[in-house]
Formats: sequence, C-alpha cells, structure tokens
Amino acid sequence: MAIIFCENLTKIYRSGFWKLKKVVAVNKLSLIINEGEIYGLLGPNGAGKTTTLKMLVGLSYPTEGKITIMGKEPKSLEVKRNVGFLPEQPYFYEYLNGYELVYLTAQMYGKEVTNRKIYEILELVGMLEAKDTYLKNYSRGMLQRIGLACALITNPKILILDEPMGGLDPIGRKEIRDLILQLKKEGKTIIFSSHILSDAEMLCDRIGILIKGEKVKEGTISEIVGEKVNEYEIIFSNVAEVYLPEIKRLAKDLIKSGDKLMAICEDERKKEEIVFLIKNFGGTLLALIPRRKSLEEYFFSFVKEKSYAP
Amino acid sequence: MRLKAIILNTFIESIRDKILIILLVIGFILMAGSKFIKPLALGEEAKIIKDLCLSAINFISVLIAILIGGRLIYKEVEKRTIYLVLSKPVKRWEFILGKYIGQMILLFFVLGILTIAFGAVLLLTDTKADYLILLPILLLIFQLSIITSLAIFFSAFATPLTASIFTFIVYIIGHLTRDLKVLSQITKSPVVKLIANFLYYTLPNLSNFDIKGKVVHEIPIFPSHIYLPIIYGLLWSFGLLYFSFLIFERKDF
Ligand SMILES: Nc1ncnc2c1ncn2[C@@H]1O[C@H](COP(=O)(O)OP(=O)(O)OP(=O)(O)O)[C@@H](O)[C@H]1O
Ligand SMILES: [Mg+2]
Repeated sequence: MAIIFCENLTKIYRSGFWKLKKVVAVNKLSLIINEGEIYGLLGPNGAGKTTTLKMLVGLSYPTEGKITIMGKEPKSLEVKRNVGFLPEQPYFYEYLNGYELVYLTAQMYGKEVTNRKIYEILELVGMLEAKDTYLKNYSRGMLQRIGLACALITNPKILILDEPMGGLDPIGRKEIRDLILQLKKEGKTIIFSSHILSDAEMLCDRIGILIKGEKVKEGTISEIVGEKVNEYEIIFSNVAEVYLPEIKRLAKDLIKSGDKLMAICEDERKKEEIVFLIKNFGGTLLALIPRRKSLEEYFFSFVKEKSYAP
Repeated sequence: MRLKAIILNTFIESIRDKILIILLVIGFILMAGSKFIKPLALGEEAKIIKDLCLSAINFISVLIAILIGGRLIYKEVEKRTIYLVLSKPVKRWEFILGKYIGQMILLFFVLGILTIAFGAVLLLTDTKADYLILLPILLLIFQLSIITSLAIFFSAFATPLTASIFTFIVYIIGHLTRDLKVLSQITKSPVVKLIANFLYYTLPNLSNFDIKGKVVHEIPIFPSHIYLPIIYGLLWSFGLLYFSFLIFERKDF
C-alpha cells in the first residue's frame, strides 16, 4: 500500500544576485513509496536527493508538482507527527547536551516522553554515555547518532533520513544498517538517501537512481543489478583472425592485447556460445571471469553513458 | 507544548551565552559607578544616582535585545538547526512567536536582575525613592518588545550583524523622531523634507517610552503617558511579528 506519492515534482532554485540563474534541482520526479518498505534514493553529489527529502518534510516547497503523504500534504501537522527526519550533516543546538536535545525534540512533536523512553532511545543509538556532553563537543558520527535518536523519539511511522550513514566508520555503518533493518521489522516506512551504493544494496527493497534531478532508474536491487550487471570476461588466444568477427558479433566488446584476446559479454547464453566458438575454432580458453558489476560501477557507467557526469 | 519547547530552547541558548554575563557585569559596574560621580550641585546626588542607574538598565537591556535579538532567527537558518524545528509538527508562526516570547522572557529576567541591583544601589546609598521609579522600567519592557520584534523582522532576511545594525539604526532614529518632525518643517530642501517625513511616519517613535527624566525630576506623569506607549508598543510588536511571519511562511530552506 502506497504511503508517499510524489507527482511530477519539480524544484527550481534561483540563485545569483538578481536571481536570474536557474538551477533545476529536481525535475519532474514521480515516486511512490509503499508502506513498510525501505526505499533508497541514490545519486551523485548534486543529484537533488536532499532537495527531494526537504520537500517531503515541508522545509521546502515544490516549484511544481504535488506530494501526498498518508493522503495529506507534507505541511499538515498530522503528517509531520508521523514523520521522523534526519537532516543531512545534522547541525544541532551546540549549547544543548544530548539528553536535552532529544527531550526538546519530543516536545516539538507535542509529546511528553518519560525519562525512561529517552534513555532507551539513547541506548538504541549508542549515545547513552554521551548524554550529558554538550553537542558542540560531539564528533560527526555522534551527531549522526543523536540525530537518529531525535528522528526516532516519538516512534513515527515514516522515517526520512538524509545520508544516515554519512560520517560513520565501518562499524558505525553496520550498526546503523542493523538499526534500520530492525526499524523495518517494526513496520516503519523508511526512505533514505545515499551515494554509497553498498549500503543501499544491503538495505533497500527498492532504489531509485537520481541524476541531475531526474529519476533515471528505479526498481529492486536485483532488477537493476540483474538487467545489466552480470558480465563475463573471456580471455583466449590462438583463434585465427578470420573467425574473430563472429565472436565480436556476440560479445559486447573485444579487446586485443598482445597475442591474447578478451571478449566481454553480458549474458549467460552468449558466454556459452562464445566459449563454444573458441573451442570450435581451435582456440585456447585461458580464463573465464564472471564479473558481477557492483551497483557502484553500474552507476558510474550509467552516468558516463548518458554523459550526465558533471 | 510545542511553543514551550521553542521558548525554552530560545531562552536556554541566550542564558548559556557568555555575552549575556559580560553585559550584565558591565551593567552592575555602571550602576555601582554612579555613586562616585560628584554632584555639581548640593542635593542633586539622589537624582544623579537614579538617572544613571535607570540609564544603565536601559542601555544594557537594549544592547542585549539588539545583539541577541539580531541572531535569533538567522542563526537557526545559517546553522540549519531550523531543519530540526520546521520538520516537526511546528507551525512556522509558532516558531516566530516562540522566538519572540523566549527572548522577552530573557529580557524580563535581565530587567529583574538589573532592577534588583538598582534597588541595592538605592539602599546602599541611602537614596529615597517611591514606586514611580519603576515606571520607566515598565515602559522599557514595551520598548524592548518593539526592539525584539524589529530584530526578528530584520533577522528573517538579513545576517545577524546586519539585523543588529538595522535594529540599532531604527532604535536611534526612533528616539530622534521629534527632531525629524522639526527637521522636516524647517528644511528648505525638498529631498531632506521627504526623507525626514518618510522616516517620521514609517519608523516607530520610541521617544515616548522614555519617561526617565520626568520621573527623576519629579515632573507629574499622567496615565496617558503610560498607557498610550504601552498600546503603541503592543501594536508595533504585533505588526512586526506579523510581517516576519508573512516573510517566513513563504521562505524555502
Ligand atoms: N538553496 C539552494 N539554492 C540554490 N541551489 C541549490 C540550493 N539547494 C540546492 N541547490 C542545488 O540543487 C542541486 C541539488 O542539490 P541537493 O543538495 O539536492 O543534492 P544532493 O543529491 O543532496 O547532493 P549531495 O550528495 O551532495 O548531498 C545542486 O545543484 C545544488 O547546487
Ligand atoms: Mg544531499
């Protein structure tokens, strides 16, 4: 069941002294997020991820298009009560300590929370020990964690997290990943942004790839990975020149290096055919390397292909 | 409760700020110093003490209102802490109102401390005073309310320093409005006349809030000297906050 709808969302920023320079940060983006799923919004720097999330939480207004969350507009208090938000590189009131921040956040939701609840949440994100330290003395990772505590304190249905794993070390990333998975089990809908695809690979039910404000791809990881990602490198030698065009026809690419040749192909069947041909033509098969393109690479090649790169 | 959270947060921010302590200490020193100023004429000592202490209270609280007020909103935008607030079920006008109330509570607190210090100076110097001496402080509250609203209004779109400077300029001109009126009447240049008139009619007139001289020199005060500035102060504050809200509501973060 869909819980968030974005229709033709467009955000145009005007910058410069006379506000004449236009930046299309998000371009006709349509998104549907289902209840209980983890959706990853991926894209390189400046893709428009933060802009999209800010519109979802009502910090920024779309230039065009419409957002509906739980059947209402993002600005409505009803919606906001059910949304927890972690801003990108969270900035906090540095004159508060961790405990006070979480307490004040709960108050802003209009909810009175018990001390026990606050301690529980602090414990959950691993910040109990630092609860009396002023935020100005927190590290980037600690800020990230306390930010998550704030997003979680009122137990909201929907979590919108902008780069939740940013600034964390590998162990921290894993802890946050586990936490997000646990939250999913509790039935929460989670939408997060990242440009680190391996995080998304492990977490998301679906991902959407955003480039220059446009959604260029969307689907489950395996859909996106499966379409294009499996690649084989077939290295061989001793095939007569005249037979090569036949192999080239099947391969995506044929590269010659010294007396060795490398054919790259993208699907299983073609791989079998090429191997068969090589043997038929009396060649020697030197190596067959399945290369599972990581999402990262896929992403990179996609950006290059479409010459979207900045 | 949401409003309370913003008010509390605003108050905590200012109270944990060193600048507040520094300004308060300067205030104490100024007040204590009034004892050492030798009167020019015999029997004027009490007047000088009262005058200087009231001036010190005025000076310090206005400075706090301008300096801390100027960054109330902008700092939140600049440091992006506003994301935390406005992504919560907090209406934008609640944010503005919470900032205003938080700042006013701080100013009450400041005035309270300074007034106690004033009382101590009066006691220690054995200076007699009646309750009328509190009237200038009462009116000061409403003047501070205008200043705070001005600072919020400016800081909704200008940097803290600019907002403070703008507020300060309006404060100064606000105390010169009578002179502006006179200027517009005597000047021959139409441009000066236009500017003087424009400022006179658009900026708040703050000189009516200053009844310190009357009180100290025991010039009779009529009720209208009190309630008119109060109403005037409330109207201006409300208007400025309303405009700040209008700007803020359409703002994009
Ligand atoms: N307030 C603003 N004014 C003008 N342009 C802006 C503003 N905010 C964002 N942009 C522009 O919009 C585009 C998208 O920015 P956005 O922050 O949404 O990207 P992002 O995908 O979150 O990138 P990152 O991975 O670096 O966080 C960028 O080109 C950026 O320069
Ligand atoms: Mg971003």
